[in-house]
Order: sequence, then structure tokens, then C-alpha cells
Amino acid sequence: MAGKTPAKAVKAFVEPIQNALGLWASGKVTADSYTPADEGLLVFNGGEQVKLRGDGKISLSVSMRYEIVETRDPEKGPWKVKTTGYMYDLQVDDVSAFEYHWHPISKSHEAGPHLHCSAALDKGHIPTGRIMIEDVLSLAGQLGAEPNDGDRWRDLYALNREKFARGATWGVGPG
Amino acid sequence: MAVDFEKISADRSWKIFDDAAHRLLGIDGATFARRWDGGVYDGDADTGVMKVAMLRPSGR
Repeated sequence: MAGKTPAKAVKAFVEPIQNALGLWASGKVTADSYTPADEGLLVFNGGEQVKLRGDGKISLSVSMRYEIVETRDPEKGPWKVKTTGYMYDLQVDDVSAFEYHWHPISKSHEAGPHLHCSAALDKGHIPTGRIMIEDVLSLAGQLGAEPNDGDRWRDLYALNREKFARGATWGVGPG
Repeated sequence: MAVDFEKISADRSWKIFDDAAHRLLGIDGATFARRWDGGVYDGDADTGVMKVAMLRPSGR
């Protein structure tokens, strides 16, 4: 996501995430940096597990790391935000069911994006592509969570994937 | 909008990290940072360790 200033780039980055989470839960997304030199943290409700709307059994924690970089795109920018890591923990009845991780900050752990799913592979790292928070929310919907507006969610999911694909350097995968 | 946005200070970001270290590992953020930098958690498979590490503010 891009902007004329670093702050605007961060706000453009946060907005689709804020909109997506807002259809499934209540709370606050925080970002701690508008400075290109610093890696920033985007965190939902202090990184705690947050109950999602629906049957009350599904909760999610979200944290992401980002960098503000310059872009040569003449129509946007000159600043854009790129994600440099994420941790999404989807729990059912307070037990982690699907943990999507990408934490290249550690050289001694799996550095590529991966999934922990103890039901499939206890403590194992299942390789994945880049996962968007919208994908995790979509999975939450299959587990018993519900957005407060199904039509709005479907439209937002498609819009956010399209926006992400326009700026993605990894690709967004099939959809 | 059910989810608000707030730009927070470095101190508040550290508090989020410190709270997570207490909540998930029973230690404070400074202790976690010291142990992480000293390699104590190298190869540790506990996802709670990585959750806390990923909440550590940059440069601190």
C-alpha cells in the first residue's frame, strides 16, 4: 500500500486490515512506526486472542511487522509499506488450531511462511505461500465464526485480495 | 467501524511486548530480550517464544 508520506503509506496499509477485522471482531489495531528506518509493528488488541463473532468458540491473535520503503511507482508513493513478517493464531475453544507464521527475524527457526497445525503435524512447520489475514478470517468462518455482514465480507475479501495483488511482490496465489 | 486504529509510541509498543512476555512466558520483556539476544531460544519450538519475539519493538 502506498502514500505520499510514510504516515499515509502506513494508514493505507492498515485500512484494509482494519476493515477486514472489523467485520469479525471489535477492538483496536495499533502501529508503532511512521519512520522508514525502523521496522514497525502492527498489532491487533495488544496481540491477545480476540473472540470472533459467531459461536464464541473461535479466537484470533494478529501481529505483523512492516517496513516503509520507497517505490518508483509514478502513480502512487513515493512511499509504500511491505510486510516483513506475521503471526496469526486461530484458536478453537482456546486451543491453537491453525497458526500461520512468517518470522524471518530468527535465523535458528523456520524462516519461510509456514503453518503449525498440531492435528496434522505436531510441532512441525508446514510450508505455505504468503497468507493474508483475510484468508485466516475466511478459515475462521468455516470453523464457526461469522462476519456481521456476509455480503459486505465477500465484497471486502475480493477487494482486499485485488488491492494486495496490485502491490504484492510474492504474488497472491489462486483465488 | 468496529476496529479502530491508533499510532502508538515506542513506550506503548514496548508495553505490549512486555505484557505478552508476562502472559505467554511468565517473564518480563527485558529478560526475554536478553535471553533471545544471548541465543537461549535458538531452535526453541515453543510458538509462544516466537509470538513474543515478533512483538519485540525494533531496535530495543
